[in-house]
Amino acid sequence: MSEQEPERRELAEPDTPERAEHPTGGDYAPSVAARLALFQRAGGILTPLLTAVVAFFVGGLVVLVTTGKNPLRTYEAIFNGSGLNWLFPWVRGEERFLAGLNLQQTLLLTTALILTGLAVAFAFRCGLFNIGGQGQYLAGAIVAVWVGGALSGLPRVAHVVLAIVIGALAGAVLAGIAGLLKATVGAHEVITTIMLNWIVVWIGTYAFGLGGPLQNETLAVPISEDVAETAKLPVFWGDPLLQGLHVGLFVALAALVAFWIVLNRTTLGYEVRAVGFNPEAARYGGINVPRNYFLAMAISGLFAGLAGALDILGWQFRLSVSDVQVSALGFIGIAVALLGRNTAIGVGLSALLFGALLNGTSTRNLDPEVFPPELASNLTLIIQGLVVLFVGADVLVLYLWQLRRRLRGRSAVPPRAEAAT
Amino acid sequence: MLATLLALCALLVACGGEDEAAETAREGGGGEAVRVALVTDIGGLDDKSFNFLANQGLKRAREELGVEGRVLISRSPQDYVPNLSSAAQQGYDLVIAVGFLMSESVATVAPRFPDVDFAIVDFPQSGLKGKPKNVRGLLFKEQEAGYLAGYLAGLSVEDGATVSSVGGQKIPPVDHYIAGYQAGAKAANPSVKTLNGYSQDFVDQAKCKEVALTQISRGSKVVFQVAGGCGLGALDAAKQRDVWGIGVDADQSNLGEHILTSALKKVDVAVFEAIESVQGGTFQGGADSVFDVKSGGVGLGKISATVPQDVADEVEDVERQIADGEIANIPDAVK
Amino acid sequence: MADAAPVLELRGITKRFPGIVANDAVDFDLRVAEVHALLGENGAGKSTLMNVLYGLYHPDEGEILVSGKRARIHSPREAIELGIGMVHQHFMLIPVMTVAENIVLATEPTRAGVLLNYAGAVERVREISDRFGLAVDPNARIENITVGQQQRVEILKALYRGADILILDEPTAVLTPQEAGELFEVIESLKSQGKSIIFISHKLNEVLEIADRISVLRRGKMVETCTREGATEDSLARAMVGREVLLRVDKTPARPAEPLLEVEDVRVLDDRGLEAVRGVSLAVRAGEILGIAGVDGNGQSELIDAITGLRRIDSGRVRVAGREFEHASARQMLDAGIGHIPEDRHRRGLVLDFTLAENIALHDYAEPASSRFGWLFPRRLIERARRLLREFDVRGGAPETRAGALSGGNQQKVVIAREVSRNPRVLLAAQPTRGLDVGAIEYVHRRLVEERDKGRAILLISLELDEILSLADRILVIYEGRIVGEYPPDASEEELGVAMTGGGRREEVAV
Repeated sequence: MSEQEPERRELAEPDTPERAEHPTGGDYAPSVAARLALFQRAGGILTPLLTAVVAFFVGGLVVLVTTGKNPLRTYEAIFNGSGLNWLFPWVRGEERFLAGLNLQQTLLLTTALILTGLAVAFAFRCGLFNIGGQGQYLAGAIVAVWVGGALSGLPRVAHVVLAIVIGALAGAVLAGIAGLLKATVGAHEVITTIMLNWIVVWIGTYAFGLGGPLQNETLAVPISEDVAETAKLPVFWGDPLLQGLHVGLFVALAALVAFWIVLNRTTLGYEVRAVGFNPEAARYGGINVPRNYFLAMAISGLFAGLAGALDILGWQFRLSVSDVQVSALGFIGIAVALLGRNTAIGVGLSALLFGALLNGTSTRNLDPEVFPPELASNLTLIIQGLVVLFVGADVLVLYLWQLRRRLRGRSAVPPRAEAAT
Repeated sequence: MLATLLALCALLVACGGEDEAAETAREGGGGEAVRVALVTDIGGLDDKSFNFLANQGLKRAREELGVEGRVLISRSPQDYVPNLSSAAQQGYDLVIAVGFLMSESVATVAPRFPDVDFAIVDFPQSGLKGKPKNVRGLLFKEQEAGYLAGYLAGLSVEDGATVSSVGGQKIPPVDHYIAGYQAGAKAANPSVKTLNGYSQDFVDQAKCKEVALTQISRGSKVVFQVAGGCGLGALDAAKQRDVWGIGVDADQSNLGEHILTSALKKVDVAVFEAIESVQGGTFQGGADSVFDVKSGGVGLGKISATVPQDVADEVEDVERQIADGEIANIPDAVK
Repeated sequence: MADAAPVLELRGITKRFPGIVANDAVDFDLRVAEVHALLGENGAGKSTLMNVLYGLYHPDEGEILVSGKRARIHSPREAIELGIGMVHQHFMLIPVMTVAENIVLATEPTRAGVLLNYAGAVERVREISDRFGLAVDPNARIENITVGQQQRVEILKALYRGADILILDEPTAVLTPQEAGELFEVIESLKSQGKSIIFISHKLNEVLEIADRISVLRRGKMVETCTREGATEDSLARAMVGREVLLRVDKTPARPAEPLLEVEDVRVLDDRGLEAVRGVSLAVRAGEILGIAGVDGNGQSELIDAITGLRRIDSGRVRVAGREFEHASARQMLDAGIGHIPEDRHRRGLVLDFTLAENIALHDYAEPASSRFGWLFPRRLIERARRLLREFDVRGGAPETRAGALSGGNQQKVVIAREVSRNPRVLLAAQPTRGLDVGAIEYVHRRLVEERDKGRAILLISLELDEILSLADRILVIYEGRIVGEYPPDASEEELGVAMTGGGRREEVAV
């Protein structure tokens, strides 16, 4: 043992990053969410952009091969169909009017997709994969159509707010069930949310079906009663009768802000993120992990339920059995969240992208001579599928990117990804 | 925009000048072809059912009447209003909405475009909110076709046997068929028992197959499918278990020898006639066209060759009686 | 040996990453049938140099000569063709396949038909493993063999592909001391058959045991190459760190006061529901370091978890400063004054994706200093973190830096800063220097002694006997979930070693 006084500030600690192994918190098996999170972390803003570009490129090839038409013209038609050309000041007159109509429809879709995207993203940030956005969306819609139709006689503001709040809560309760099961008995949220989706679909099928408790009383068709006038959201752009843009868009934009604030500026968000990144470290830090699983799912469901309520009160006003069965906005929300990297800004932008894509490829916006209706409807699905595929293949994109650099003989390899200990 | 569209139309018409389109004059239209937009519901064009048949009717009208037609596919309920209104805005003379799902949207859009004619398949005009004057309902007495199919089924089985039906959803057009079917079977042979079930789906064949297999295992000797694409699974089950199957909407005798017959609902005829009436200037909103056995809008498809001639003759006789009104008050609700 | 021609030579290798020169004009050579150790702290550039050699990186400057000929290595495949084989720290084996399959499948896929000739492959594997004394069953599945055996498979894989030069990257990091001994025998055997080995490590004792020559990298530069005979632990440590290093901890005798942590007859179940801690009693007093020595897996982890509220106690009691706890939550134990340096900082100690500021707030983000009514004040977290990072001399990161971007030593300092700054009465330090290099170990040890002298009760749990012996004021040995003996700090390694493996049981310790 030496008696020498140790030198205090002379530690030769090199600053090279240590290999950042992904934490796979011990008792918790690495979930799908955790693995995806690993992919997601790798690329910053560049990869989602590349992902979208590659998806569109391949989609363009599909156009070229199947129709022999110029893909660029097709995309121009889709762009104009989405109404985004409204943003260009040189678009005037009748064309501008039409662009406005299209943009209203695109933004209606965007409104719902922002919220169903946030529903996936919020759970994701807690390390959970919420596949139940669809069911939560429907729960919100079913409850909103019920509250909006049944409680007539309320003052307008109260009725609208009540229907929205109860609809959103319905989504929260539904997702909360999955969260509770995860927190208490460890049932995997992917399984439980899928099962809950079906439960809601069948509840809706029963409720609005012929003879069901919520089926309308005047027509012999399986559709709900209409929402009362007092429960309809005001339309601020376009014709209220022809499905103009309602104020729910602002609710969705506010939800984006709320999402960011909750995650980054509250202790709840801190806990959620800690659990999402590393549940074992969160537990060690004194965080109640099961409680966060429950809360994160419930908040996710709140977003999705809100989407359902806004759609009903904003433009749909009624719900039929077939609406319940074919609706897919909740599922598209998964793609929105993945492409948007589970961040507020990302979800906002990718919701706009998907909304534009869905609306732009509608058969009413594409010249049937150039683009047969059968193909138009499938092209969206193809591009959607490609985007999801390429999001999953982020690593591939990253790899190609690095390969390109390597071939150019440049030496920069991101040390975080590859530098060893 | 409208100007460009019109110019575009003119161009198209000019290009297609050599065919008979230009020659077919619309009343007061002076050489301009009638423009028809067909808006599908979310079933899409290849539903092998009314969307498909409606498109067949439009195609026939294009060929035979020289009208200009366009199909707008609805992929979600959000497409209904924009599809209907953009078609109306773009100056189509007739906008046909296929399916009762669009009833509310038609009721919303039609009053905004009083100069445009609308038609809706499977929904009565009087049922629309505000009863818009420019909409005509295209209705079918499915129960008459169902009755004929049921009658044939009742003659084709032994005393006390069971016949069954697989519905897609409990909605009026489906139940009309089934109610008629059950009544027809009982009329042919009062000792016949009936079974009925719903698959809650119009697409997934597996679901209908499951329902049908259950019915067959409970003794059904004839399975009548009333579930569009899903129902093909029910017919498949009938083939597997060697019992009769009955097709719906379109003639499905090409599926094999186990097809006893098909109950037809000629949406294509209805669409074609609606277009024809617009072209002839006789289209009248504010009422319904009802297609029945008498008008040839519903009926039976090809009857299996293994059915004895006297049985086929007897069914033909029933068909005549329905047409003549001798058989009336066929029930249209499933008990 | 000094005359032998180099089989491999690296000349003036320079490799830059954005913001850092990982290798700065490094020269290195390897002779036939030699073990050449490459020594350096974490991040000194060892792995970068070897990745350059193995074709994973391309040097910005410099050249590589293999058997005297200039070689251009653009990929691992080209390295393999040149007879260079690498055994990575993290094995690249397919768990569900057999040893032979793993070895054979690793060869170039162009050699068709290997799967058909499985028996031949087994034969060939057996032949190689016999020749080099690498006993392993070719038909065993990877998932069923030990880590040490998996490492042999990796070595066999390299040999099977015809490697004459073997790079072993921190090979002992994953091994038990016994397995490490066996590995050294294998290395000797390989050497005797003419293989040349580059042995990468930051552990001084094993380098001195196995290497013929030793090269030391520091901050990307080659600072020293010497033979084993001329080197001592102190001289190597000095070369690595760049200054005198205290390998022994300097401390005064403890002045224990009142007991702050008392554990009474605690029993704990492990994840499989088996009893892992079987009635442990102990007491840690203010101002002393109590060390618990033991071989891994004898209930240490479960004991720590039980004390910190991270695992349910089956029976027994824990008292902190006289207050008794039963089935307490992690939060309750934190509030009771327990600080915990966890044994695995990646799994538990840090949220690697959080910033340093967020990590430092892990226990008290919800307290008034950081938040109010659930509203978080990130700026306050950052201010506090900045102060602590300075105080605890954390380098390579600002409060906004992601924790995962720091070196291991600095990560550990962040953990210590967080735990110590909460001013706990009891500090549990579980393997506090695992994976750290010499300089960082010195810091951690000194800090623990300082905290002891401030009157904290410190419970040190370590698998490194050296560490226990140099830090603890009293030593308990844990074996199969029981405390099997108490020893004074001057107990011999042999004595403790026997107790740790179940022999020489003394009387149960009553506290």
